[in-house]
Amino acid sequence: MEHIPGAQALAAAVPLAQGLTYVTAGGFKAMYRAVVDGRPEAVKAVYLPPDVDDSADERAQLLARLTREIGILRESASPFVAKLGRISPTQVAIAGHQYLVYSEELLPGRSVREEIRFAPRPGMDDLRALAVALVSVIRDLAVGGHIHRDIKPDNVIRTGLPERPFVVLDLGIAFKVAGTQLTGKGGPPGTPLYMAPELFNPEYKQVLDYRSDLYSAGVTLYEYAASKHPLARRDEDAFTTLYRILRQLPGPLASHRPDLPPPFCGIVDRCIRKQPALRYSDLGALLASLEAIR
Amino acid sequence: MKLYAQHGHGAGDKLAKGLAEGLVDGVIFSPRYLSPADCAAAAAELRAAAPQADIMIDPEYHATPVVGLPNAQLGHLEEWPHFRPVQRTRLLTDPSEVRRIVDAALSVQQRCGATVLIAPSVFIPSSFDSMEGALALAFLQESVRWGEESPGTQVLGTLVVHRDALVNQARFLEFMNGLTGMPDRPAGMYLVIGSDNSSGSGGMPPDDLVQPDVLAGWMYMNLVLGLNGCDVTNGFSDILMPLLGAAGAAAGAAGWYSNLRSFCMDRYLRTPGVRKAPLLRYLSMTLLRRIDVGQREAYADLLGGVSNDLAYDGAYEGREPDRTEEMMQTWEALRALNGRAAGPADIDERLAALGVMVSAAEMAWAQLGKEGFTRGLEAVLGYLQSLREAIQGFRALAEL
Repeated sequence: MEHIPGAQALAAAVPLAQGLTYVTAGGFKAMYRAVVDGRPEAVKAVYLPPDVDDSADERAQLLARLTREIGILRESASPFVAKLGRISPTQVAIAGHQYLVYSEELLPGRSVREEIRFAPRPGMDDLRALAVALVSVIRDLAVGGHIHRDIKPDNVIRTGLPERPFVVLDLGIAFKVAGTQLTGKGGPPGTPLYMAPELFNPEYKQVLDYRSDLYSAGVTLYEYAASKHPLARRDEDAFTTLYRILRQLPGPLASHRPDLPPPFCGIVDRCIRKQPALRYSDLGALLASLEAIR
Repeated sequence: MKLYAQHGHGAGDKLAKGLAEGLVDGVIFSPRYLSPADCAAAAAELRAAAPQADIMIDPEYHATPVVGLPNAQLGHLEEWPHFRPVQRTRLLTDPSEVRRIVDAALSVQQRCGATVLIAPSVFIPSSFDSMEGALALAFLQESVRWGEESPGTQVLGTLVVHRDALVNQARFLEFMNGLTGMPDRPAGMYLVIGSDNSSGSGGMPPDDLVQPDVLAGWMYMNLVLGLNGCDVTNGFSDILMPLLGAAGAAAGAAGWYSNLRSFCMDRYLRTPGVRKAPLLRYLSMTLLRRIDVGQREAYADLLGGVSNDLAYDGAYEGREPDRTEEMMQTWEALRALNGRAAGPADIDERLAALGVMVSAAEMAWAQLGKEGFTRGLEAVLGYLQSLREAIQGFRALAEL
């Protein structure tokens, strides 16, 4: 992320956040830890880049999109979605740069990305719990006509909490901002590994739906189960990876995890089909199938 | 996989006999050949004889553009209340028109005693990315709505599509993605794929239908609709049924004349020329096509397996069958072929079974060629090659 605001400067701009400390940053967003009204929360600062063509409309649209997506977070009743914190979305200026600042609950645990790197391969209970969480979130979003488009191991926290073992972060916000970057005037996609093939076709955006999220969820599940991305290879150039995403069929999950129930492997394999029509359209039935796997 | 009788001219006792003997699971009536009153009477008769049979009526609304043409050949169609031509632009701009047509078509089928209702639709002539493609989706949505408001009814959505629309693959796949993503999808589909020829040559389907990309696309439609909870009934599918069954079709339909085995919009137009009585034919499961009675006798002397060893083979032993027996033999053979191709639960096994069937046919025809039966052999081998390539093309489309 460019122009990461210092913790002190941010604390001065957002007095509600006490004891604010920097945690991490990526894309357009930096994350801090703070105590808000006596509770620990994750404070997020989204960098608002200056308009390329100085169009006030463009900036207003970006802000409106961010605010709308935060509104989705607020309205979501899903236990598998991070809840908004006490700092409502606020636009602040720090050192001449504009940011949108808000807070979310601070979740225990670590990301699925870290689990893939540092933990042993997950068992069926963990995999089922992750699958149920992801599909539930996608279904709840779809009911409201939304898609997340940034589901990936980095955006899911394994909390260890029995009632919400996995929680999805950055609901739509990262997509909305990054989407501007990926498909605007800036050139080729930046992080394509979890994007459904149809997202690379500008025309296809006319018919995008929740099945794109299902693809991202499938890739996340595959990688969590197999400790290996279904298509990307180590040290491979971006264009080769892109070719694989668009054209090459991944090996079946069962070839990496023969110990898992075949129905579960079949579900993950179907989620990462290239054509949306080959993925699942009935998410309720998919959830029932997942919950029935033992 | 269910097998239905595709009704048309000259039904005679074929439907009753096919149902009574368990060779077909139901019938798809054509209003072109029956008035509403006659259709209701025929449906009642069949239901009395076979209470479990599926009784359907193809509303054939897609034929309305032909109304008023000097060579139109619409039979009783214009006696049906839903069969009123409406301009496409009006259908697009006035949703109440689509609603009225759907309501009229489904209501009259209910009154006629149909057990499964078939929604009306328009013909998609060359591309899914067209006014007709959009209208077809509008008809589908309206038929779903009608079904939801009529508890206890089973309504099939309808797609009637020219083969060219399947060749334009990008638009075809986009349409299928859109259709399967519709929030309200039909639970069943009546699918008709048509070509420019009303009949094939030499007991095979029309050449322009038996093209690998067309067949692969047709199979793909069956697969994705089935995967998304929509059982597909393939009208006018005849000998292509095993391919569709292997891809996941729920049902297929075939009738006694060539225009009931493959679909062509020209069926609604009078064409010049002298009509000859069709040859009596025998559907050989090994050869994967129909052969005439004389060929059957000649080939059987040289090649084991030309005969199916099924009950209706008897009608061909030492005599010529009548038309009803010929139809029973076709349904009997199709049912057995469908069982082989659509029987296994796993799609890879089904496609493998299909591959075995095509290989066996290729070997049998090659053997006949060696014995000197070379007339038309090239066309037959081309047809079988198309089936083989269709299976490969389908595997690629289905990401298998």
